[in-house]
Amino acid sequence: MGSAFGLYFELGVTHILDLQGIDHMVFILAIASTYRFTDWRKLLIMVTAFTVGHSVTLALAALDVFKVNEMLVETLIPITLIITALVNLGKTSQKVNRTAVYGLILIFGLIHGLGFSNFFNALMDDRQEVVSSLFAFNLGIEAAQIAIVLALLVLSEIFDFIKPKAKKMRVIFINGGVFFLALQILLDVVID
Amino acid sequence: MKTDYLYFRVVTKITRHIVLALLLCLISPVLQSHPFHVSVAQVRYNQQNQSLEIALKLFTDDLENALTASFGNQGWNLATPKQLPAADQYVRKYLKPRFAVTQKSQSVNWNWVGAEYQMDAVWCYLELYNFDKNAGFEWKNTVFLEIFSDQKNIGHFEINNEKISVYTSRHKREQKIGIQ
Repeated sequence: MGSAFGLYFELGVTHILDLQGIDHMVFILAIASTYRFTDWRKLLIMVTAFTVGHSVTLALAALDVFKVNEMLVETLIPITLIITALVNLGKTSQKVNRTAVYGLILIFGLIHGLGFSNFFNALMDDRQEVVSSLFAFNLGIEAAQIAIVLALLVLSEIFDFIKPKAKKMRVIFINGGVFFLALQILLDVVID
Repeated sequence: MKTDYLYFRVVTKITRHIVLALLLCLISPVLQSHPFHVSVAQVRYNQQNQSLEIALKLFTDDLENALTASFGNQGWNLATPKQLPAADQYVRKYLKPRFAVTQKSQSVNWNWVGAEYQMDAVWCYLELYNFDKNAGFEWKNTVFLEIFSDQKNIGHFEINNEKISVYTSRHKREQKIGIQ
């Protein structure tokens, strides 16, 4: 029991799944919302782009390469959600440039990584074992992320089974929800 | 352009709902963005004094909120030149019921060593004598749980060259620490 590695892994998982701060979870839902199990290759690229992005900035900020303005990051995160939701809503009727979307997700990953680092840095005070703690924390984030993607894919399959040909409706439903949640998160940050 | 027309229709439909949902957003205070509510305690056994030394890091703004919730606003101004002279007593009084080490079913008293007030964080130093380094103990840390439902209080322990890390939260207010 009680290794630092286990603790940081758990904190990584709960940081994503925490219902008190659902911004990251909602972002992953938005990314995965337009895909099905059969599109796993494209989805894998999307999720990987996000992971690469947030791992880079989390590591750099956690290792004190640079400092970030917490307030700015907390404002940018809901904006990434809003844009992702709008892109997904556009996808329901128009072809979108896939490479551009991957690039966008990578950039959004960089922003979310800064958010993770604000939390991570609040946890770490003495800098010993920072690398292994960081690794465990990141691994926890990944585990939670995969769990969310899988859960959504299963729910989507069930939905598409009950209501075939309604994929568009499902995408609009999820992304509409994401849009408004993000709007509220943004308002909360700005009003504070 | 059939698809463009469809997208247009979807957008107008959504816009109609936006107004409604915006109103809903304004009246629902439920969702919060991610403020991080954590505290970190570094705990070491001091061989020389045979005591347990605790350095507890609390975020200054969280601490002020918690003190105000418990004792009313006394004009804390922590970590500023105008800091309330009796701040130490209040912090100590605040920690007293929230912070405890129990060993062999008996609460081990802690002594207040002092606090260091910094702009972002306040470090509280506590020391426990009569601590048996070879026995397990219960660690209770419920700091800020009464004001933040997502509060996590992390504890890093170094006793007999063994390192243990745990956290307490609303769901688990106490942790058993076993020493090998």
